[in-house]
Amino acid sequence: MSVENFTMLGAADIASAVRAGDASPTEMVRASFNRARDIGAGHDELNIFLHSDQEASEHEAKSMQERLQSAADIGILAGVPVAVKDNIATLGLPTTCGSKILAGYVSPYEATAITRLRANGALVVAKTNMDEFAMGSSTENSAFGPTRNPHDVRCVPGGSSGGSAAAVAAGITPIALGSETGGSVRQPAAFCGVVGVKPTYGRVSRYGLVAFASSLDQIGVVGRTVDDAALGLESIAGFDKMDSTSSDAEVPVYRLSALGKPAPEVGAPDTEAMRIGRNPVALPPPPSAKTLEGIVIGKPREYFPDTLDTNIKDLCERALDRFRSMGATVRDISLPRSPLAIPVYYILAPAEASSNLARFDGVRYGLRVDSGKGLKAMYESTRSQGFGPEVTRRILLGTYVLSAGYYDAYYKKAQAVRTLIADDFRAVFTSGVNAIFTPTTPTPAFPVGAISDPYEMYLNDIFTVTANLAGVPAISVPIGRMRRLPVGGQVITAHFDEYTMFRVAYALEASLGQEAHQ
Amino acid sequence: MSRERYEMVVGLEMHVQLKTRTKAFCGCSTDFGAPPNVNTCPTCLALPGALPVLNERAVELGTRAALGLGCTINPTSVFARKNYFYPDLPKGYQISQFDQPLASGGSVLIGRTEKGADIKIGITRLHMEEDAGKSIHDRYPGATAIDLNRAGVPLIEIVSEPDIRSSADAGAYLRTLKQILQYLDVSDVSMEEGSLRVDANISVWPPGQTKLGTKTEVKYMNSFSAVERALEAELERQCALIDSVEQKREATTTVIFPSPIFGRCCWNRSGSTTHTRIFPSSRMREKRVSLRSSESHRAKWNS
Ligand SMILES: [Zn+2]
Repeated sequence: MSVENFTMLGAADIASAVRAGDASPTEMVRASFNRARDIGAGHDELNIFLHSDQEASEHEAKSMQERLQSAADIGILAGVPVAVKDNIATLGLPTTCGSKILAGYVSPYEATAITRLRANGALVVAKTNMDEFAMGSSTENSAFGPTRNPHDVRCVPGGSSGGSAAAVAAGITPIALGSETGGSVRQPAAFCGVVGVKPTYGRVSRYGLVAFASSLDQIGVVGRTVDDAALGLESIAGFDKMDSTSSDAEVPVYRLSALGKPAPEVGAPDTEAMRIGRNPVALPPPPSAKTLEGIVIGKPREYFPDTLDTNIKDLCERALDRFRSMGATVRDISLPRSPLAIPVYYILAPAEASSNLARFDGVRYGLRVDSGKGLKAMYESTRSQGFGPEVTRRILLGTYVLSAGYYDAYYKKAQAVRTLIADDFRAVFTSGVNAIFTPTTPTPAFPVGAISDPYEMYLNDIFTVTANLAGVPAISVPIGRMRRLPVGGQVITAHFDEYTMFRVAYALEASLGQEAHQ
Repeated sequence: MSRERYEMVVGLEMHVQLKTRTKAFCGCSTDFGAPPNVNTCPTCLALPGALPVLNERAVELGTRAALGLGCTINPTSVFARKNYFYPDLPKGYQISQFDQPLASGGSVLIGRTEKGADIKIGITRLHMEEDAGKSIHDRYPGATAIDLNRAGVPLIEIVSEPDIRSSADAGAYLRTLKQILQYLDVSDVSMEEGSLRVDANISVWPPGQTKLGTKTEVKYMNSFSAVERALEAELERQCALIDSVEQKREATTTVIFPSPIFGRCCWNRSGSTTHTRIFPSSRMREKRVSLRSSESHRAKWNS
């Protein structure tokens, strides 16, 4: 293994090299920062990072090196540089949620997911840009400027975890943490040609994830490959006594590297793959006609409407053909209430947000705008100057739907429909379907500034938001390109069945090979 | 004189701090008298990303209190959020119970009439909630200091029926209630340390009538005798008002009773109802608390 090939290495490759003493954590951290510099991750370029501190990261790597020499086991992510969305609390680097109201705020405690990452040997190198408070689908709503898509700098990387998806796509880190409330990891992963996973609600502790809509929020993982995403999820999943909604369900081993995958050979650097940070080496064993034997893949008609772009439809059909050729059965199914997901989501999520964001009041931390005109004026100026337009819109929307007189008409009704949407998934998964396959997004990445109508922007999440409402796990995997831009396909499985989700995703990734990126 | 023609109709709300070692939703100590803001953590400071975890002991003590007052324990109770802005309310909402309280329907026997009949005061409901912090207005000139040691301390609120007809009955009810809670060992019931607070709702009517006058809420009284004095004063005031003008239908007014502990303040914590929204919980966590051999109570909350 050579650090020259850093952008092509999977997390498992790095960790095994570091554990074997063939590479040092310091080398990996430097490679990550060098890559960020070379590709232009800075504020005036791709604008991927909000905060990073190379000196501190190298110091951390050095102390890990010392622990390695004392024969301590560092863990499954030993020496792996990881980027983290800026709404997950970290010690050392600020946690601003892409908002002016938290500019400069450094959390005095750390999220459970971060503590677990570190316990597994990961090195947090940066906090990534995001739509303010995770409200958006393009990372254009960041108070610190939009992130650009590494595949085409004219385009958005998707959102709200756009910085995390771009960091992985640009080859800066093999793994990044993001968060989802309605598709915010999978949609940017699709736009950036990388893998994005949203686990089952409750699979990963939310302690330290700044709340947007508590009943929907979940930390997710972006990876260069399915294996990277699996490794990342495995290292952060599991019960946490600090989050009562976290599940004590057993966490199986998801990563391919644990399934007896031979150590990958690093081939000659492919310049195109280098540029976008793809890793063509960490492929699973060649798929066969038995890889998915016995698996039933559901194809829901609501996610393949007549209006669906034909390029995306064709790429999905190709993926479905691959499933068949690997022994799976593809079955036409229906999730009849899914078309109601966007309106339901845009009632429930803002309602919860209006309550969750009340704590940003200028009293204890963050921005305070006080002109000496009293308490009410301080609240008003702090919040109206601290929050951007989309956050303000959603707080107003949420306050409205929760107010007396409208509560039954909006909130209660939306809650009831949410249950029906979840019922649809349950019915499908209890009828013998193991996994559902859909396009991740209705379009590939769009140009920065192209969508100004909020509702049109919301429609980006039309295929992803249902998994959040139902609480089921879902993953987006690259399935090809249209107009040179990446397209993602989505695999959804039943509650806590990430294992099957990863199995199907591995098979798809393996059977498409480089076709997934062409 | 209307003083003789009217009697008071009073309902009391008693807020009682439960005798737990730690707060309702975090592991911070509930010790009284610690230096300001020492008993705090990310959760009760409402730092970004922190989450509440329900203290099971608080539910147990609340349940014990409810059983001691003859209440029915509801099979499921739900915590919701009461949203309003105030500097000593760190999250911007108070976690409390509304539609589905811990318990309802009970009574307290406070004495007997001359003819030997029981005088009982009904209990409407008993619910759980968390306390807010403390705003200190008189310490620093021109500034308010906030102490969040109390923020998140577990309370029960015991709401009586409007069965009380005299200040003496009110005093008897409060003293009996205090005794019961003391005996059940669920609270220190100390007004000095703030573990017991009383709010009163009072209106007046001619005896035998069923149409209530406008209700007044009297808050922040620091002793039982202060409650009795406040009720007498309020009866006087309302009667005088009826004498002088035709009483109009109007919304509840809040009167802050002067008190050496809380001082006379000029703010209304809850604001008007238009600014107070109740946010229920959608995907809630459940905690089962077993009561007797076959019964259990499920408390649900949002995190
Ligand atoms: Zn605390």
